[in-house]
Amino acid sequence: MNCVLQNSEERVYSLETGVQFLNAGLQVIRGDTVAVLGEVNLEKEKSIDFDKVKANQLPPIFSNTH
Amino acid sequence: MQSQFFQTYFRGLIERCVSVTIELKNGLQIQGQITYVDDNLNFNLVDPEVSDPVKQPQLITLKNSFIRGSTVKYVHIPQEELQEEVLISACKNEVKKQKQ
Amino acid sequence: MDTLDEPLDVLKFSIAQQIYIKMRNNIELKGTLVSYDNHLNMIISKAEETSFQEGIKTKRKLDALYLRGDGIILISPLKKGITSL
Repeated sequence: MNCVLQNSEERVYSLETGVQFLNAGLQVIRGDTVAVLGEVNLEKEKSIDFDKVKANQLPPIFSNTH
Repeated sequence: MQSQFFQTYFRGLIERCVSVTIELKNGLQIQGQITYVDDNLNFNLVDPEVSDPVKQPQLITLKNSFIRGSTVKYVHIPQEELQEEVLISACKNEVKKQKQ
Repeated sequence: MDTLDEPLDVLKFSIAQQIYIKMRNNIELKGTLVSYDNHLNMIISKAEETSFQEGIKTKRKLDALYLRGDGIILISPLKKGITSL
């Protein structure tokens, strides 16, 4: 399921700094690279201070094809 | 034995509103109720909860989620909701049907 | 008479029996085979997972689980006799 995203932002999680937001604009994402897709709860999102969220990046998913 | 077999089984879990934990190939565990499952065994979950929200906060704000079937490693099913006997005989029947 | 004609017959004769599964990323599973399909997707009951990561062995008891077949390397019945049919 290929997707087209508008006004997208990329979130980079790290243990040193808080979450970094990168503007990624309009992009096409190939369906086979998608693991999870979901509707965001904006209320809950507002209540989170992303500068204080420190976490490792999720490990990659190795499947048969890549 | 068609892959329809497991789709039908998961539809049964949906009807009985069983809560499951889907474990992805990268180890991420997402708990929730399945709302839909398609031919590719992609899942839709409602109110997904990550097993370790402190270490893995990436998905905590999701209201619902679509999980691509190919990224799934396990779906943990509560033992009491498994219906083991039913599944065993259904599977044997299915194998017999296919051999004919 | 039941004969072992094709590879998947190993699974056919193992329904409701204990099996051993080796998977990618150094993971091994033991449990009761409840059902399977042609993709080697399976439902395993009372599963026990052993994983070897960086020389460390971890065991997990997992209850019942649906297992996606694409990660499987080999499957073997734990009960002797099944493969000699």
